[in-house]
Amino acid sequence: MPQLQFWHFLPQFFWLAVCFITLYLVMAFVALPRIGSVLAQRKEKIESDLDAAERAKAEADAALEAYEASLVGAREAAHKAIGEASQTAAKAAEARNHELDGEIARQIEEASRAITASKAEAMENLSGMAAEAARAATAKLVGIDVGEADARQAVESAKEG
Amino acid sequence: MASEATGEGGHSPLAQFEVTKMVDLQIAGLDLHITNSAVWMMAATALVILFTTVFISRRALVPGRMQSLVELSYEFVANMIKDNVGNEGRPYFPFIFTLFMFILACNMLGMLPYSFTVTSQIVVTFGLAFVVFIGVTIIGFVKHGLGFFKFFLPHGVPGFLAPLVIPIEVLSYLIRPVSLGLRLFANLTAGHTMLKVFAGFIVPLGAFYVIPGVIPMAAVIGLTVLEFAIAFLQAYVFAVLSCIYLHDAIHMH
Repeated sequence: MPQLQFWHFLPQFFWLAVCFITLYLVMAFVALPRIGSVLAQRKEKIESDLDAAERAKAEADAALEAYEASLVGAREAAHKAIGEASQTAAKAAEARNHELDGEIARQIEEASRAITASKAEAMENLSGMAAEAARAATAKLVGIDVGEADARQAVESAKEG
Repeated sequence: MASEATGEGGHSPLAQFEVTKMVDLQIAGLDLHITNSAVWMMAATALVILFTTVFISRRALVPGRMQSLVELSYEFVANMIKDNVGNEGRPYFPFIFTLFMFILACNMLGMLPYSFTVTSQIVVTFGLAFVVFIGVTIIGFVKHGLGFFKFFLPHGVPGFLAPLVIPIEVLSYLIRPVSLGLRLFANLTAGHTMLKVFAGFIVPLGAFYVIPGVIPMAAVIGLTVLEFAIAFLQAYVFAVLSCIYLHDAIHMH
């Protein structure tokens, strides 16, 4: 077996040691710290990005909450405003009704008074006309001229009787 | 030796494991030749360094394909340590990462045609295994002092069994680096040998008659897929076992 020829044991081992130690030194002090720092940098970046995303999400949640709260407030305010407006409108309508009622009552009263007055007047005129007619009738039938005062009295007594 | 030619102009399936000198080098009287094995180790080292530094240099927040692969390998090993050792394993992360990536790169480079598989060299796998073994043992003694010897007598074992249990535990502890190194070596050597053996059947059988040549060809394709899986799996197994030994040293069972 060529591997068991002793002459190359020492030179092979020597160069193995040289290569291995060189490689070890380069790995330990140059390559591995560099790879490690790249990995650490990436890990840090990912973590900070995740943090930022989480913060943004919290902000968005807070904004949404504020929006919802303001929505609820606005709705409440609107309800209140509607309630107030309808209340004042109702009050105004009531006042107006009251006023109209008064006016109507006054007008009715006035009208009924006018009716009563015109009725009395008519009654008066009617009595005069009746007395005149009675006087004319007696003059035609009997030929006696009854005095105006007597005729009126007779009409009055007949009206009462 | 099996490295002799088998005739018919073909090479031995083991010829691919032959170590050859590329550059003669002697330092302080020691033979430190740069061999083809050393060249491929350097290539693996360069590949891992390039892979882990170039593709991450853009430091993109959203990683591209290659950067994802780098990050994936980082997290793969980091999770391996977290699962097998726990948080106390953090200081050993660069070592386990280096181990895993080096073995993986060597295994994968070995899959290139005409390349050399460094991890099929017993010196290399045993070298890595003993580094892990000695390192883990030192960590055990540093963490627990002489109390680390209690590791060889698991609690709950009745006293009269101690003479039996302690030698078994000591032996199983000492055999760890051997099994660790041998597993990687044997898997890679056997796999690559098998590929060569089947590949060697294609041309002689194909020349004899076309249909029989197709069968070893299909086998080689299947084995190549399998070898890629093994290349990854053995790197993973080596790293995981190192993590488990580290866990034992830190937590004492």
